[in-house]
Amino acid sequence: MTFICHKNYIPKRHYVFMGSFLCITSLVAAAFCNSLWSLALTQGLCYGLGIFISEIPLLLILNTWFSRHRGLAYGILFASTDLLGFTQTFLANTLLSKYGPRVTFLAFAALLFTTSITAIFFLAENPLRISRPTSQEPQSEIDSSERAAPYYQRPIFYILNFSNLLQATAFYLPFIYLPSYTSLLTTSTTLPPLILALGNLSQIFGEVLFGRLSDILHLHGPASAVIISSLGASLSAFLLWGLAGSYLPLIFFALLYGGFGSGFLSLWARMGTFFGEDERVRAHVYSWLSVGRGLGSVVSGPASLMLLRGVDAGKGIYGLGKYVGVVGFVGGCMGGSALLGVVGMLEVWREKRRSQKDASRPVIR
Amino acid sequence: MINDVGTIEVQSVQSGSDISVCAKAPGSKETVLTVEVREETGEERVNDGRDSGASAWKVLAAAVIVDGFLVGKTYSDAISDLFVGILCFPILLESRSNEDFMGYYYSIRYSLTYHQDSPSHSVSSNNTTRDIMVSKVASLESSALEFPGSELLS
Repeated sequence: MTFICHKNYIPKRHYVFMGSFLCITSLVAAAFCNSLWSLALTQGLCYGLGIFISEIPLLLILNTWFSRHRGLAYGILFASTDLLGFTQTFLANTLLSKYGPRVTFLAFAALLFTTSITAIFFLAENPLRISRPTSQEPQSEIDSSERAAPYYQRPIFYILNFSNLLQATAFYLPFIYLPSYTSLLTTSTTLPPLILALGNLSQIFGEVLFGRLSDILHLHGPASAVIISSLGASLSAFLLWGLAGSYLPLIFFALLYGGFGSGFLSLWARMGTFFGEDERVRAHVYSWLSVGRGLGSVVSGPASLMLLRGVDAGKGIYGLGKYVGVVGFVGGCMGGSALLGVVGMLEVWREKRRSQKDASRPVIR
Repeated sequence: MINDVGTIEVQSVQSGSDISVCAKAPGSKETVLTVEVREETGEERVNDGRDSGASAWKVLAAAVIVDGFLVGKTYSDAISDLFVGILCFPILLESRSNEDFMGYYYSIRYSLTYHQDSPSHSVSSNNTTRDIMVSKVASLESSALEFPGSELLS
């Protein structure tokens, strides 16, 4: 989609409209489905395709309006999306129990039509494309000759991508296993979902805070915020989740892990801007990070199942025995991601040194 | 340096020790560009509405509404949804019953991002509205998906 959008065949807003329209159509079609396979076709394939078409153009439009505060803007966007998604699940549950699937699908189609389609009219690209003076646009300390190298020829691109892949491989797992882990420590039926909800809530704050942090730390390269996010998540997994013998440490774990771990997503925008001023390059970097997250999500499910197998749970044992593999996997992946962040910082420092050397070298004509 | 701005009209020019130029699009009252040049330092400040302008926040609010209601989740779910859709398609062609298909659907779906180990997945933000709907419909499996009027469609 990034590639197609940059060809400028049609305005980006039209892609958002097409994607939204496909989503609404698939919801209406789903309301009249009478088999599960047709439901999965409309809800799985068509709806997913609609999001696929609309998502990247929407972010590219946003990029035309946000430069210095791009990290914050992405953080607000992701956090709001999570919050709205969270509330929609309750709405769906209520509608389903009261009115059944058909009315629910149609109600959601109507909701999408009135909200998203209306909002699309306000999604205008910034008409001005201005190269700002360096005093206003945050720049890395890397010399322009170094920055001129294609992004895929710079080691930092691969370092950030592998760090992202490791982070994504582990990120969702605690939210999957946290309720069952909590239920082994308490007989309460309300605590497991409550702890999960706290983790989800802290994600919302984490995304906004790390988005802003990436704007502030941008001058030191994109890896510094990576280290904070991944190291925070790793330590909370090893020290709070693994050692938790009651629900109280799990509450702190959910809050800290949610906040630190989710913040990584908000760093993507700034990772892109590190590779130069060309918005196409920035979008390409973002797309590769997206692919990495998708791959990580695909790998994490089966990997965690293998780690759980054949181990009995027991109180007083690290990770309750059953979950020791998952805790180690999450903490290790997050730690690896943070370590790659350190390598990334060193690489940025090396690039800086090299560009300084090049600048001081006399020019022979 | 301003590239490819189309036509703009200069609204006002103030000069003194510093120079300030405001510009707007023809037929509009909204200032789209302000350029200030400080005489002493030669520093140029350009305000094109990015980052702090009302238009920028308006677009962000619109993006939040579109993304929030459309996606309701992060982008990775779109990828996994698409993946599930593509992966399921050949499977469902061979599948002879809805039970088979739901078995495939859940095994793939949950191995991607979710897992049945989570007893509270119905109230988690890690679970999309679509999942809830699909699981609800799956629970109606025994009643052969008797939606109101479904007999007319079958």
